[in-house]
Amino acid sequence: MRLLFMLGTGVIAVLLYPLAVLLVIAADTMVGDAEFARQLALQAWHQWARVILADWFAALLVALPLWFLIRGLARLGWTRTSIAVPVGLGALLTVLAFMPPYLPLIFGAMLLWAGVLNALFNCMYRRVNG
Amino acid sequence: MIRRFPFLLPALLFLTAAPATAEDLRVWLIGGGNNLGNSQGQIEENVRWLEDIFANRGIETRTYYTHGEGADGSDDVIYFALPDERDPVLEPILRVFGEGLQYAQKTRTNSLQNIVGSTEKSQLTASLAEDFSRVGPDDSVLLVYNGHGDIDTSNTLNNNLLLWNNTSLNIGELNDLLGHITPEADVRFVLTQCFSGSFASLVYESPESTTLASQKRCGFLAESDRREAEGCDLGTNQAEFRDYTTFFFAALNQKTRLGEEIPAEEIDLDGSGEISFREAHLYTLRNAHSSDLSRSTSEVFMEQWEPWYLRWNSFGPRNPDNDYRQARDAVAERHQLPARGLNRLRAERRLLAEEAVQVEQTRALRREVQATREALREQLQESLPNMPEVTMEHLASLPDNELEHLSQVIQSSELYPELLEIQAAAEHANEQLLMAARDRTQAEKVFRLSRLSRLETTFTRYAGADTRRDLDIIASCEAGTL
Repeated sequence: MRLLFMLGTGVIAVLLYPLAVLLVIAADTMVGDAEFARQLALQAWHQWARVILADWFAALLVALPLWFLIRGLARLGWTRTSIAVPVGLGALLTVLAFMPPYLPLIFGAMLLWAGVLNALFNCMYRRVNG
Repeated sequence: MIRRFPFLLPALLFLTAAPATAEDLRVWLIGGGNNLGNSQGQIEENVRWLEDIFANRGIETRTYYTHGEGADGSDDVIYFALPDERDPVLEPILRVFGEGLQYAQKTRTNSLQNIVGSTEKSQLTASLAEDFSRVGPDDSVLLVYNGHGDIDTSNTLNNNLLLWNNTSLNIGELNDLLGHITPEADVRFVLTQCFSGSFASLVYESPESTTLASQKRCGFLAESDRREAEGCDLGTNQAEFRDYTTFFFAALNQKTRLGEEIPAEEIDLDGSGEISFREAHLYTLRNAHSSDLSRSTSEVFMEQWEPWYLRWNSFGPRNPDNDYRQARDAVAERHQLPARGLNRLRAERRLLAEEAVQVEQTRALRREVQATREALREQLQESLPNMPEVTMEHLASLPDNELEHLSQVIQSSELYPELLEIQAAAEHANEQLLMAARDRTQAEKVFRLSRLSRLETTFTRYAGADTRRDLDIIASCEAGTL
């Protein structure tokens, strides 16, 4: 079971970027220039797939430390902090992506997802070990 | 001695200092197709117009064109002849036995004034290496190419310029040639061929490098690395030209190629009184209703820079106030296209669908032309049972009376008027198809300008110091004037 959780936490770290980029794509499509939708509709799939894979790889440099920092806090007993801070900060950064200073949404979205997934992870961890 | 000639020292100082302050623009015009059949009239018209522009400004040009000879050389220009220019005997025969628009094509020698050599690869590279090694530290270089390009679909960094005698010069080889220029000189290139976008890598020390070249380099490219450019039309009617050269140099010259003045406020965006290369490029982006998605090296640099965390982050400031946003709004307004979002995408898809319909209609007409030709050929076989297979070689060897007889038999066929009608419809469909591609490109341009507008804003905020310095170098080169 411990191995399963180790594997699970690794998978979540890797999935942070694609989950976060879904929010970026949604915002881009609904209130932006629909850049991704255009790529999807008019370009060969391998062109945009290559971009996503390259970005995903680059994003791991942020996603991995972020996730393991949050999990580290949770394991050290700062469970509420490790959920509240990423969710709160993530929500704030997300809002600031749509108004000055127009921060890149992906960071807020990754923090938000990291907080939410950490809450779910803690919940499952407790249920299994409780 | 100084006492006896008090003006000598200042005079000597003036004379020795003068060359260091004077920046000479040295212009190379390279043009023509890779063979006669691919050396269209529009290319020659463009090179001749550029020769005139620079001559009127007192700037010397060195022109390399096809076989390197002027009017004394063999034919090196192919063009679309108007009906009354065509050979009345050969035209009906070529309508039936020729390829495509061969019945309307004629060839001639070029009429350029300043040709100094051929574009055949070995000759051109040797000449340019010698020319470039003579460039002085205070000179600036402008290299303009009007001709064809070729693509390496597996790696567009290997795209080529197609040169005379079916030779070619790739980006790496052109980069090596530019290396002969002294590092102190500014080097600008305007490349208008198909698939020219990847030549933006000429700003680097090699195509695969990310280190800028030793000289300050920048360029303007008619198209992306995977799309065909306008500018190689058989027609020689300058009023119909919409290629990059036509708009870019009209802006630099402040006058269209038909001689109409362009209001300064449309070109001189910074009100400096001088037109920079960048301003000429922006004028082209705003005004060219063509199928070209033109780009400058600084634009390509920003597009390649875009980091993962800014991808699709298109919902920032709604209206960043920069040249690209203004150009986007101008193009969107002129062509009645939505400037942003899904509405713009819908418009692009609609225009793409209209183009696809036009493609299908054009193909159907071409098939109809082919079927009518074949029917007419079969009819001819019955009327002239002893006629051997008609090939271009066979036609060239036929005596005049036999050619005339063949032409008369073709024209007397009841299928001939039908063929004329369908071929005219096919010609018209080709024009309609080009117009549809031009319309669709405007929607793509609106999208691209929107993205560039966003990138320019984010670049200043997020790019690192080294990257900013590199873009500054390229941008300052693009901001140069003639």
